[in-house]
Amino acid sequence: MQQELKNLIEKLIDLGEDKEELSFWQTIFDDLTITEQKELIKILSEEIQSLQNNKTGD
Amino acid sequence: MDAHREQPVPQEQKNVSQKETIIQSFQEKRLALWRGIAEKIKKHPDASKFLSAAVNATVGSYAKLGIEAYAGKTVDNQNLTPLGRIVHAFIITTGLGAYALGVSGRLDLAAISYGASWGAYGLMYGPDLLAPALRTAAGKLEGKHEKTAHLLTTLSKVVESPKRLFFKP
Repeated sequence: MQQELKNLIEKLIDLGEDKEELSFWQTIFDDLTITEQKELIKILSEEIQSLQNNKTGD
Repeated sequence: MDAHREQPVPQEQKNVSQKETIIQSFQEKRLALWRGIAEKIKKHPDASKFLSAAVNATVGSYAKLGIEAYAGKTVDNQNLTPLGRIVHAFIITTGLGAYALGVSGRLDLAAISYGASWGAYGLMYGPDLLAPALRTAAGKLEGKHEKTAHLLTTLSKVVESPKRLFFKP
């Protein structure tokens, strides 16, 4: 899941998200419970989807 | 041209505004997740005890928290960056903000939430206050609660970042 997280974060930073905040989540990821990790992945994935949909609305 | 007629907002400007709204809404979701994690730390019998004791020892080493230096300053989401909100949420959710104020002896401050805001500002901006407290608490938790210890260690490094990363210009 760490690699999946890394990919999601890279995409989000490209889309304009805050690098410092996302780096913090990357650092603490392994200290989260499985439930928290899945929740974070879900939030990040949904954000990418929303931002990409917003872009294609040009 | 009629000066009173509203100019249409360019599509590009609309998209930037929508993008910011999307980003803010997802940052809020992550902040809610983080508050849940901070709440767990607050309820963790050992973590809470060690963290409070560490703040007590750290803040107590200063004659005053320097509250007067922070007079009139408040901390809220309006003036914080996303990383700043994470630090602030931790201080408020775990109760350290109000605790620091109590230790400083400034119980005369109006309401705990306002006091917590000052305490949070002091902990975020005060010299070497929160980072050593977090490291001390982390040290006590090592061996028994590794993940919580590691999380507090990570947070101690974050709060040692340049303060400009927490507050919007």
